[in-house]
Amino acid sequence: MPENTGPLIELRNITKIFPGVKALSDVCFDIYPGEVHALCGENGAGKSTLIKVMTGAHPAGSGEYFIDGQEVHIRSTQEGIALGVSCVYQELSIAPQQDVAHNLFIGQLPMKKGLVDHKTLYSETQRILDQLDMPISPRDIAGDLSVGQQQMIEIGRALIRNARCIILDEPTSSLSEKETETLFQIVRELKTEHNIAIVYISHKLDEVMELSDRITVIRDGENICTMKTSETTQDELITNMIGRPLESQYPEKTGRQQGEVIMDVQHLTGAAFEDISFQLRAGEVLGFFGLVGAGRSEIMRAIFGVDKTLGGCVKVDGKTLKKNSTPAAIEAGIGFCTEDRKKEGLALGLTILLNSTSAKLNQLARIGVINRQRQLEDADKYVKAMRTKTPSLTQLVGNLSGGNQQKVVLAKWLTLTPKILIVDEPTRGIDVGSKAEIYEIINDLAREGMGIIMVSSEIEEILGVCDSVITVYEGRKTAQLPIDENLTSETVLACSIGKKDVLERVNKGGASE
Amino acid sequence: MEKKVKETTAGDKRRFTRFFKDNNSILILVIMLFVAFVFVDGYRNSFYNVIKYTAMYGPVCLGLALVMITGNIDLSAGFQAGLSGVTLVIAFNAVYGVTGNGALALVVGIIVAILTGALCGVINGFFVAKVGIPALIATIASNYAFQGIVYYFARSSFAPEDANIVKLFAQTKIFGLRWFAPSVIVFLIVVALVFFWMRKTRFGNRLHVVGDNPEAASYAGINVQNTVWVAYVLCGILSALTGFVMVSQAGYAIYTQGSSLSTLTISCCVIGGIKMTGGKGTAVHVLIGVLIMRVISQMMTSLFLPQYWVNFITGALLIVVLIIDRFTSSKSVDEL
Repeated sequence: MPENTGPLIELRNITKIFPGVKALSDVCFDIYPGEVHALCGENGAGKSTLIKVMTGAHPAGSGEYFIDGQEVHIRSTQEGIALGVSCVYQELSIAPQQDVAHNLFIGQLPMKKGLVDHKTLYSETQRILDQLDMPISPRDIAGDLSVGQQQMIEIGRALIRNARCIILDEPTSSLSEKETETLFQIVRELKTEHNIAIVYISHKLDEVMELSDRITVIRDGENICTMKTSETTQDELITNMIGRPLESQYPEKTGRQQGEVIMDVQHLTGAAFEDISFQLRAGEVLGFFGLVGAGRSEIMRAIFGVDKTLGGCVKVDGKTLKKNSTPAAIEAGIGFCTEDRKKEGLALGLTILLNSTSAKLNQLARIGVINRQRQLEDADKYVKAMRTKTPSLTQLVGNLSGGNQQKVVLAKWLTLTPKILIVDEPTRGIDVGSKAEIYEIINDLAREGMGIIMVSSEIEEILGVCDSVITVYEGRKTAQLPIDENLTSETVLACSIGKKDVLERVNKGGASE
Repeated sequence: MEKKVKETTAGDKRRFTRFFKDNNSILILVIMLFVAFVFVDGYRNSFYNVIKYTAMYGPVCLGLALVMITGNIDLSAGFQAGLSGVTLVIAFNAVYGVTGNGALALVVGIIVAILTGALCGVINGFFVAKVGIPALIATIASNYAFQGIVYYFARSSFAPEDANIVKLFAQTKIFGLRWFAPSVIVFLIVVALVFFWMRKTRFGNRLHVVGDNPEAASYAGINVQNTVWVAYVLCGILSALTGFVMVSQAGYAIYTQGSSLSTLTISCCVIGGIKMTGGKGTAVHVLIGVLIMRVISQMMTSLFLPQYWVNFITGALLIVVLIIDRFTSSKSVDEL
């Protein structure tokens, strides 16, 4: 990192406020040419917002933005690209039916006499592909390529645009180990040979430690620290990321009694995960922790019969569930509050009444006609029980706050009085007050004897609410840890990123299943 | 290095098989032409009819294809053609009434027809691309409106006062060949132009990208709204060409054909390999699609089947072709 030159990009005191949320507060960030600067933080810490400010996708609320020491005001990603800032997003922007060359030169095809110059297009593409060491043809169709190769196309795009700073947002989340290695090699080449600055965002801390020169940690939209990678350790990094002590927003776990085993998952295998076995008891809250993309949600979807399973089985009350059948799962008493409540959990344009009883319409109907009275009673009962804040049952769900929407999702399943409830990221995008209420509801349900699986990427939440936690790393269960005073979030995080020494200690030291 | 060469030839092979998987409509066309011309009919008459109607319906199909490639739809294309035909006749009669000059009247008529089509496209494009109304609904609505206007005008005048000069376009026999009319030549030129435009110009290249992944397009600085809008305008202009050929073929404005023409147009595009979801297809695909549909229709006409059988069998064949396509094309999921 050549210190003598000034930083390529410097952000000073960036503040960004979304309606109701302060996403970034006085954040500073700088990066030098030829440097890999990692940006770390938990989900929702503000990393994505910071990137969007850098690329111009979101204008900063306040603060200063310098490129090469010149203050700039970037109002669109186009302007960002023109100034040399390109981002490779987590969701790839590939046109899947077009060929590699057209994808690489998307929006800026080489021209000659006013016409597209196909000769240059394909030869230039070949040159870039060689540079990135990719054994594919410029005429291959982009949709046929692996995710890793598609990602390389995006990096290639940044090169064509003469990017001086490339932002990689969770680039390895869907890459194989080999593809990850290739990516690292390319990143190193870009850095040393092309003097390009790389902002590297990843949950995988060992990657961060391996690749980066400096690390900046942000938490709750604030700068925590910036340190040289060579002068820090992974443990210190984790401590910085998690930071604050557990707050008392979690309910007392007392009064919960674990009963019989009600669900037994044996060697469940699917496309994104392998050999998952665990048991759930009545009255137990079982946490599932893992990084985004580790396969947590996929496991839940498979248990619930949404995704196809390749092997293994799910037993409820000793009876094996019919495979790949959501009706069978519901029949057996499983409820599933999905991760994306807006897409999979709710019909935002419909009323609370319809949403909260939508899973139960069959039972509410006699010869196909819905008993309106019973429907009203049911919906009303849960609105009251969960203290959903709404003027009436006919309020559209889309008008509710995130926390209240989540309550409606819960109500939808509770009307069916399930024995087992799976909640996937129940507090994502919800403010602190509502979070506590959701935890309270989960706690109450467990007291009443329901078995609950809570999937979350917030460690504190798992530690605060669950009885034990299963960590998932790259589609495998790495550990099952009982939650007590001795269990630290560092241990859980270490297990979820497959840190070998910790795993050995944990799996030897007790919880042998 | 050796490894790289090997991989590339594997890619070539993949592309080769992919070409036939994606373009299996060519195969279907060849088989159908064979059946149609060899077994069903004494070659000449069928050929004439297929060509005649291909040149007539081809332009509107091409226009719709442009819209479909951007991932949208235009259900009003049929009545855009009808409306353009009607305005052509009105303008023709107006000029002819004053000057008595048929050629001048025809030129003015054609210009008015094209402007009519373009205006229809501007309106559709505005509501779909700028206002953001779903294309299906927006064009159903404009279809009603265009239909209303067509019926209003067609009450008084729908035949040109000098039909002969209007008929020249579709009915002149170049080299004494019945099928070799100016309309056929113009259509082939249009196909070539559109093909060239989509391949060689920067704007033409945008259509595919916009239809394939609008988000990627807009990240790349492509103005998605304007691209879609232009596609609608071109669709209107090409519909007007179909309107002109229809008038020229019949000698009067065929104003009742709009609705059935819209569905026929969509069928031609889909059979030719234009995806409903966008991002795929060229002018040549459309040409093939129109030919296939015309051959199907011609086969049944030659067999003297009653109209209800024609409809039924056309529908059944369409399904069969699409089933074949679904199971042979390289991406069998989430298309159409």
